[in-house]
Amino acid sequence: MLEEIKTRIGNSPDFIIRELDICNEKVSLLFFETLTDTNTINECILKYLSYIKTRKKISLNLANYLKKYTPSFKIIEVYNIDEIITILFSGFVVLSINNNYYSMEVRRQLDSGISKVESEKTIRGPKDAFTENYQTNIGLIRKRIRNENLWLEEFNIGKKSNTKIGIMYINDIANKNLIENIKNKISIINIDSIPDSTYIYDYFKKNKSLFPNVLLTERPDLVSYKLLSGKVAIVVDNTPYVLLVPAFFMEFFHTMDDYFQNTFNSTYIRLIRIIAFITTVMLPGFYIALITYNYEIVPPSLLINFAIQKEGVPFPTVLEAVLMNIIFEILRETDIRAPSTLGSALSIVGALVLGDAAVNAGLVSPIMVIVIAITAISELIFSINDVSNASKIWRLIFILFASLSGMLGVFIALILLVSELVSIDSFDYPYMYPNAPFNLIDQENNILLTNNYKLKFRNRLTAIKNKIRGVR
Amino acid sequence: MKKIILILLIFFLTGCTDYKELTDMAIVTNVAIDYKDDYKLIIQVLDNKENNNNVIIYESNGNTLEEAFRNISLECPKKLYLGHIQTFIVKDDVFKINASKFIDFILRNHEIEKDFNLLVTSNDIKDIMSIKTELINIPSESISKGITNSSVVKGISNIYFDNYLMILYDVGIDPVLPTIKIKDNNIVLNDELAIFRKDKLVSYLDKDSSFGYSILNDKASKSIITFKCDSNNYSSIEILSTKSNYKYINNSLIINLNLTATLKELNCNIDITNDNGINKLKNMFIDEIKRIINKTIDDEKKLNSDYLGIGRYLYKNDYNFYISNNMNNVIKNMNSKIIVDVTFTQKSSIKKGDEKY
Repeated sequence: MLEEIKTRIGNSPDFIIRELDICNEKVSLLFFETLTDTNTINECILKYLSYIKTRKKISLNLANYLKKYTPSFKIIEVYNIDEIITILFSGFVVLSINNNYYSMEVRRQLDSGISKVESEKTIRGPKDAFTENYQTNIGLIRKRIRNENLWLEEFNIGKKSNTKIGIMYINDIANKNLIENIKNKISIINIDSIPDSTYIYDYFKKNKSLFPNVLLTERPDLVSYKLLSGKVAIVVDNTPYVLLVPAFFMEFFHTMDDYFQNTFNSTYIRLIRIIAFITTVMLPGFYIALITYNYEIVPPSLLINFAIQKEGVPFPTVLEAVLMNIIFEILRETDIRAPSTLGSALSIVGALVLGDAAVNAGLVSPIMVIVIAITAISELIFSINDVSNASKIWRLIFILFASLSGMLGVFIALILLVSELVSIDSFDYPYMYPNAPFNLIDQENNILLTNNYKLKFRNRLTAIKNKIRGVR
Repeated sequence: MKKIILILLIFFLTGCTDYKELTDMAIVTNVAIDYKDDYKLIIQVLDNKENNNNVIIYESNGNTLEEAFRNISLECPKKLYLGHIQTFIVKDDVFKINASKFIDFILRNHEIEKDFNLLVTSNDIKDIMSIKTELINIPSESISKGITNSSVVKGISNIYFDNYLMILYDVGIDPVLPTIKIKDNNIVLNDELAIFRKDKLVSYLDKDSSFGYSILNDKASKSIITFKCDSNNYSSIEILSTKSNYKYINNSLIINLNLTATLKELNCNIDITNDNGINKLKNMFIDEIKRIINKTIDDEKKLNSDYLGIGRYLYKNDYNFYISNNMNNVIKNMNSKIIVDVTFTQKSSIKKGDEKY
């Protein structure tokens, strides 16, 4: 049996079989030294076993004795070889006596510990973020909702990686159909390994839309808030990002900070975010339409300003816009990929190339630099990368349409954008929810955020039971 | 698939029609025309070389305006863009000799927006176009902003080209246009309106009649009326809002005028703390307004141009009377009666006229 396990694992050097002789019986300890905490094995288990050896008067069944008295908080008896291998990979040590196998948990801490939030920063509120450890992540959520109705269901996905996936929901709020739907979708996943939760998200997506239809977050407080409004969280092992389904488009304009501040301020900031989204998607296209087709909209004094700035630039405006866009994207990409020591050098070169030098050389007009700069800054307002990626592509579409037929093109592109957004659904929930199927109560947590809603209501669509907070 | 078809349609059906780079265009802001044997055209084009908001002047001739505009291309290397014309100055000779045939060119041209200021001048257009304006460098902007702001003086009507057209093609009413002139080597707005009979220029109204026209058309808000309050002192009252309507009954024109006004300057010894003083002031004010409006009506009778639109009033309200009578005779023989009702909204904190002495 032991030999078979060894060959199945492929004689990995980190797989260790420690053989002991206790009361004339052969006892073996099986474990991976890379997955287990060897200190615990030494200090607790081995020490204890050697202590038994010195007491010679043991005449009872050693296997039973060990099962009862070995110092471990969790001893599970395992029966066949598949189970043994699975449990070994989970960081257990397996004790074998006379073909009886007992497993004890001695998992090693394999993550960086709970760290600070990095991408979804807030001014107030908790600062802890999810880690790569599945147990820790579940714990971070459970810590916030200490209730028997917070249910967890586990799955193992990945033919080779055997990654743990947990579905969490609040039983007396969430919709059962939604949970069934998610379970079905997870059960048909057929892949060798899941390196990140985005892989699951790709399986969930059925249309080709650029906008994400799940909410990815690293904030446990956001997850607990959304769980309480009837959503379902999907925790994936080895990923510091938790998926929340269903997602609505307007939620990408909300942050956790909105709920921690004065609601008037939150409303104002949400408005700014929406303006930023419109700016980042439409501004270059709009500018091109104004300056190459529809002068009549621009007041003459502004038009003369445009004309003065554009004078002497040899390229067509469209080319200018695309050029500046590409330069900015290159800068952004290098900034992400380059080692942090090169950052300052990069920013000096970038600022010079993008700003002053290009204008002085007559390659681009100053106003185009301003347009692209405003566009780029507006794009960064989203902490969720997928939305800014989508707006990037849509910006190019707007530029294309504007360069073909001016304001008419801009509005055609706008119609396409709106029809795209409206046609998306997230697990059969309408993506534009509080707006597209209009709901008066949920308007209070749309662009607006009111104190009344914040303290009183859950989302009317996702929470099917207990729609009022504070009833139980 | 539908989306793809739509995109392709835009490519092939409309692809880049109307595409024009801003740097290839010369933006025309000010146009002046004159007619002697053929059209004489002077335009001002915005100079976008430097940041000084200068204009460049081009001149040409042509038998039609279109030809004259095309002839400018011999001098001007860029394509003319007419969408931002702010002022269109017409020498009064054009209205006298060739009437308003130039309107056809403006109406047919899809690029020209129809909300520019149409102005009449009696000066030579070359002189007017070569004047550099001081405070606002672009002359057309200087003129059009000046017209908007000058309503505080005598209610110079801000008449755009489309207003002019609407009145021109209406029944029983004749258009008026504001005028500009050169004074001390500067363009100034003339507070005398040019009046027409249909599209022919008849004459110019004097200051008082022009003001009366503004009051009767409810365009005189924010303007002031200055009147003599005793033998040698003057006072000013600002008109805040006016509301007027006409009635024509039995050969007499009855004008009802409701005004709200505020006292701006009082230089006579009138005690306005009591009703007597206020009524005294009111009566003097009403007399002055009646004098101005009577002047306007007298001019209408004399000059044979129905700029007040009495013909239109009758056409709408008493059609049989309108077609059975000659309007010129009706206007010449009508009596007029003016009923003015004034409300003073505030008299400011100085209570008595003589408190300050």
